[in-house]
Amino acid sequence: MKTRDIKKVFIANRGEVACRIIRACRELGKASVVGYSEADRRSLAVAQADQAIYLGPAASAESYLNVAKVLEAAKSSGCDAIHPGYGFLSENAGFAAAVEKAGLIFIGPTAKAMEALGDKARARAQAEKAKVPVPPGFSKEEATSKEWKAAADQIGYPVLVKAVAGGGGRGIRKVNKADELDTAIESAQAEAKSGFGHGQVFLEKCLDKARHIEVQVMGDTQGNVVALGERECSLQRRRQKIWEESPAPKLSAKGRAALLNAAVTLAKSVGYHNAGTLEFLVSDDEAFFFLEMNTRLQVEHPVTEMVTGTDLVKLQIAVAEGKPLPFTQEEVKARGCAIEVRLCAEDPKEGFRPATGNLLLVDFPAMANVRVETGFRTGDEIPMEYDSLLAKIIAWGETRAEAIGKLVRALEATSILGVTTNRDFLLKLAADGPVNDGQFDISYVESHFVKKVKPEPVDLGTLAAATAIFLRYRQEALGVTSAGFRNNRKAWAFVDWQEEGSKTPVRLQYKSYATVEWEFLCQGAKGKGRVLLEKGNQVVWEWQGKSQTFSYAIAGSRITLATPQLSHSFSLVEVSAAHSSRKEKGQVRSPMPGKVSKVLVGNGDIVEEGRLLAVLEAMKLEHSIRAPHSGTVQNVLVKVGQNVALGAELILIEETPA
Amino acid sequence: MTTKSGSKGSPNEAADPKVLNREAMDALLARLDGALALANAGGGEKYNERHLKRGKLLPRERIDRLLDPGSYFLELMSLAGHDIEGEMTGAGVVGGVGLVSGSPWLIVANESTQKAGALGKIGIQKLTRLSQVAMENRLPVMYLVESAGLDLPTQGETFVPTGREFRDLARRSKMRLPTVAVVFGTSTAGGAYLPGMSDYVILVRDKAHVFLAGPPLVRMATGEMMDEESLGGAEMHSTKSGLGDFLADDEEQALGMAREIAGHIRRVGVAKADRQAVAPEKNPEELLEIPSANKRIPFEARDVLARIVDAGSFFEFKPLYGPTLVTGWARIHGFSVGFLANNGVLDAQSAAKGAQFIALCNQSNTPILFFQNTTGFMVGKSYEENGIIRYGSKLVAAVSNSKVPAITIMMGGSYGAGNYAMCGRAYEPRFLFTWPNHRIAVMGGAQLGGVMALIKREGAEKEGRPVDEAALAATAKETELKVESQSDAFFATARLWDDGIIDPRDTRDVLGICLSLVNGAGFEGTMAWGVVRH
Repeated sequence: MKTRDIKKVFIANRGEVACRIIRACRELGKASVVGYSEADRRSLAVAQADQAIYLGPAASAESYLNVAKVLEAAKSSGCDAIHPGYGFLSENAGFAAAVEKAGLIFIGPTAKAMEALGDKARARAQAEKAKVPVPPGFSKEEATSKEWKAAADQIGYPVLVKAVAGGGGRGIRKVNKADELDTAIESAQAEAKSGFGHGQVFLEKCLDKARHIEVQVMGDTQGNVVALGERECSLQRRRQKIWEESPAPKLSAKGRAALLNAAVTLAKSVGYHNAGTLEFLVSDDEAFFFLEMNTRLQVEHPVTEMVTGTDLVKLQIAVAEGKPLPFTQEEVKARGCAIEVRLCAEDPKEGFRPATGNLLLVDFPAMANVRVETGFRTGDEIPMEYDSLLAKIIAWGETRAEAIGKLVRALEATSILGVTTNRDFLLKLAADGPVNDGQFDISYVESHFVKKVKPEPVDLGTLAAATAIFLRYRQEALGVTSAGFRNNRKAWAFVDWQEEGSKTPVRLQYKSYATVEWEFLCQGAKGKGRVLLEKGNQVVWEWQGKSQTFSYAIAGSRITLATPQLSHSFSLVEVSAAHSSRKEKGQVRSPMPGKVSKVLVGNGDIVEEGRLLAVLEAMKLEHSIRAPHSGTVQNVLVKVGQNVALGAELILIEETPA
Repeated sequence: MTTKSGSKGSPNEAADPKVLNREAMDALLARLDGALALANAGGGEKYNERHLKRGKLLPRERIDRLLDPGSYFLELMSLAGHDIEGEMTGAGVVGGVGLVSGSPWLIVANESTQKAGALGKIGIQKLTRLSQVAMENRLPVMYLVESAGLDLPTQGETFVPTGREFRDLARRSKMRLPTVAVVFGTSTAGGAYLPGMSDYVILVRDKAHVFLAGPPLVRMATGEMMDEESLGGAEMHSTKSGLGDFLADDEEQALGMAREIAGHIRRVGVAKADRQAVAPEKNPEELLEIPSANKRIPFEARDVLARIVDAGSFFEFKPLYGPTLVTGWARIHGFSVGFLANNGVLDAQSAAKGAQFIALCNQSNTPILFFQNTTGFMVGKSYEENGIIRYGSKLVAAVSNSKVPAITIMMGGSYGAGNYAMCGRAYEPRFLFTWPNHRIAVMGGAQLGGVMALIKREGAEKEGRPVDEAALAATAKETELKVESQSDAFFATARLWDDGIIDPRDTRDVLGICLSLVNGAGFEGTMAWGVVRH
C-alpha cells in the first residue's frame, strides 16, 4: 500500500486533546491548525497551534460538530489531514467519509469500520458474529413503549438505556423499575440527539458488580492489529471515568490474554486500522462481556503510552499516512504501572455538579514520570458549553503503590483556584483502602466511596489564613495600620465568610507589635496565626506554631485557597443595600450557569416540595430544578432555550401557608 | 520578656527597673482591659440578650458591619463616664473613626442597651467632642440611632447643652460633611430632630419610630389614639412624611444602604503617606518597660520615640540646646511629623526651643506631635530672674496660635503649666491619647498636700494660734490622697480629658491613623503669632 505524507494537520477538537495533538505534530515536524469556537478564542490550544481558524459560536452544533465548517476550515488552511481527537466528530462515520471525499486524510479508522463498530448496537451484533460475548440486551431502531418494556422485563432490571452513538457517559440512563423506563428512554434520546446528532438508543443488562476493563488496539492499513495492553477504568462517577490505570490490578495473566485476544479478533473482523478501544465488563471470575468499541483515541490513552513507551497520537498519524506499525504484538512490552486521574471542574459535594468560572490560578508540578495534559492556564475561563475536564494527571511507577504515591504527590502540588475541582476528592480516592488494594467494581465510587467522603468542617486555622491573606491583600485600601486594628483592645474586628451557603463569622484581633500577628476567634475556637512568607500566589502561614503552605487566589470578595490536601473557597459576606431578608422565600434560582432545556410548570400551578420545575442543561449534563417548598407558581421568569447565569431567578413560588 | 513572678523570684531580677516597670504597666493594662470589657458589654448581658432576641444587632455589631472588612476602628473616649456616679462606662455612645466604602467616616452609635440609649451629661459631652473631631478632620458622620433621648433625671444638666448637637449637624452639613442617620429604633422628641436634620435618612422597617411625641403624649395632648407604627413608623415616614430617604427591610440592609451612600458621596479614600512606612528601629513591646513604675524616676523620651517612629526617620532639632525638651522630625507610618517630647522639667531654653520649633512646623506645614511627660516649669529664684514666665508664655502662645494639626500623647506626668505648654486638652489638639501610667494635676499630690499644710501653718502662726501638727499632717495626707486619686489616667479619661487610654504599644498605629486623618483633611500652618514676649 502506498504511503501519503501528511504535512499539515487540522485538529477538529479543543482543550487538552487539541494541545496533545499539536505537540505530537510538532514532534513529527508537521504543522498544526486548530479550529475554535467563540468560547475558545483565547484558549491554550489556539495559542499553541501554528494556525487557528474560527469555526463558529460556542454551541458545538454550530462549531465543533458542524461538518461543513470544519471541512471548510481544514481546506482553506491548506491541511492535508484531520485529527478528530475524542468526542465531537471523532466517531461520526459520515464525517470520516466526508473528509476522505474532500481529498483529506482522516486520522482514524475508515468510515466503514466505524459504522460496523462505532454504533453500539451494531458493535454488539458484530461481536456476537465474532464469538465475543456481550451482555444481555435489546436493540431496535423504532420500538414501541410496549416493546421496550417487554425487552426490559426479559433482560431483568436494572437495565441501562444507552445511546447507540456517543460516549463519555452521556446518553446513558440506569433504570431500576418498569415505570421509569419511558422517561429514561425519552431523556437519553434527547441527550443523545443534542450531543451526538442522533437519538437512537438500546437496552442492556446493567452489570454493576463488574469491572470495566478496556483494551487499546492499534491497527495499520496493512491489516496488522496489535493490542497495547489493557486499562482498568472501573472507578467512575456519573458513568464517567475518573481514574484509569494499566495494568488492571486484579486481572490474571490468563484473563488478560483472553481479553486481548478477543479484542484483536474483533478489531480484525472489521479490518480495523488506527487507534481503537474495546470496552469490556469483567466479572470476578474473569468472565467478560464486550460493551462497545471506541473508534478513536481515548481520553485515557496516556496510561497505555506510559506503560508501553509508545506515542499513540504519533502512531495514529503514521498509520494514517499508510505506514506499517513499527512493532509486532510480541514486541509490545509493558512495564510498571500508570494511573491517570481526571481533574475536573466539578463539585463532588454537590453530586459532581460541573463548575464554571474563571481560573485564577492553574499550577501543575513538574515531576519525573508524571505527565500533565491540560488545555487551560491561569486566567482562562471554563466555558459552560463543553465538558468539565480540566486536566489529566498521569503518574508512572515501577509498582502500583509507587504510581499511587507519585500521583498523590502530584495532586498535592497541583493548585487550581477560582473554580471548584475534584482534586481533594481524587486525593481521598487515592488514599482509600479498597482503591489501594485494587478491590473495586464500576459501582464502587458512587455506591460506597462517596458515602465515606464526609465533608470536612472548615477548621479555624484555614479560616484564619483566609482572613489574614485576604485582609493583607486589601491592606492598601485599609490604610496605615494592620488589618482589623482596634485601639479598644478588648474589641474584635469582624469578618463574615461564607462557604457553600453556610456563614462563618470570624473575629480577629491584631495582636503582636513587632511582627504582624492576629488572634482569631470563631465559634468558640481560638488561635494565633501570622503570614510568614509571601511569594506570588503562595503564602507560608503559621498557625499555633505550625507552618503550612497555601496557594491562594482572590477575585472580588472571594478567596480561594488550597493546602496540599484541601481546597476552600470563601466569599466575604458584606451587608448590602440590595439584599433583604424579606424576599428570599419563593425564589427558585439557577444553581449554575446553563441553558433552560425544559420548563415543566406554568403560572398558577400548585407544586409540592421537591417537584421538578425545570431542567437546566450545562456542560452537557442535565440538572433538575426542584421546588424548594410547596406553593403556587407565581411567575415563570425563563423560557426554554434561554441562557441563565448562576443565581438567576428562574421561577417564583408563593409559599402555601402551613 | 518578663513574667509576673519575676520580681518575687530572685532579688537580682527585682533590682531590674525594666522588670518593675513592666509589672506596673501590666497591672495598669489589666485594669484598662477590665474597664474596656465593661464598655464593650454595653448594658450588660441581660439587656444585650433582650436586644438580640428582638432580632437586633448590638451597637458594636452594627459598626462592625458598617465598616469595610478589616478596617481599623479608632474608638474615641471608650471609657467616658467610667466609675462616675450615675454614668455607664462609655456613657451610652460608641464613637470612633473607621473606613466605610474606602473612606474615613466618624461613626456614632447609641448604646441602646444602656438605659435604652438615653444620654446623660457625659454622653452629651462625648457627642460634642465627636462632632468636633468630625469638623476638625473633615469627616462625614454615620449616626446609628436608637436612643430614648435625654436621660430625663439629669435634664437639668443636659437639656441646654444638647441643643449644640443639632446646631452642629446643620453646620457640618454646610461644611459639606454630611450626616447619614440610620434609625434602628425609637427616636423621639428632640431625638426626632436627629434624623430630621441629617442629610440622609435610612429607616428600618417595623423598627424605626420617629415622632415629636409618642402615642401616650399624643393621647394626653389631643385625645388622638394612635399606634407607634402609624404615628411615626418607617413606612409612614418613607411614603408620607418624606422624612425617610431609604426604607430598609432589616438592619443589615440598612447598613448596606449606608455603605452604598458612603460609596457614592465620599470618594476621598485614605490619605497617602509621604514615604513608604518602615517599622520602628526598636521593638514597640519594650514600651511597656520604659515608663518608670516609680514616678520619681524620669525616663528618656528618645527611648520612647525609637519604638514609635519609622526606623531611620528620627532627626533632632537643636539637640544641644534646652535638652529637657526633645524636638525634631520623624515619620510615623510614612507620615512626616515634627515632635516635641518632654525629657524633664521645662526651663527657659527648652521653652524657647519649643516655641521656635512650633513656628518652623507651621512654616513647613508639618503636623506636630506632643509627648507629654513633665512636672511643669522650673521654679526658683534664678529661674524667675531669668524670665521663666516669659519663656513659658512664649511656648503657650505658640501652642495656642499654631495652625498645623497637633496630636498629644500623655506618656507620663502632666503637671501645672506644662500641661498647657505641651498642648493639653484645652489647647485643642486634634487628638489626645493617654498611656495608662499617665498622671495629671495642677501639681503632684504630695506637693499639693505639703503646700496646703504650709499655708495653714503660716496662717496659724500669723494669728498666733498653736500649730496642731497632727491635724496639719492629716490634712496634708488627705489632700495628697485626693489629688492622687484625681490625677489618675482612668479618672481623667472618664471625664473626657482625653480621647482615650491606649496601650503604649498601640501608640504608633493610633498616631498613624490620626495622621492619615489630619492629612486627609488638609491644613495650612500659620505665620501670624500675635504679640510674643521676647
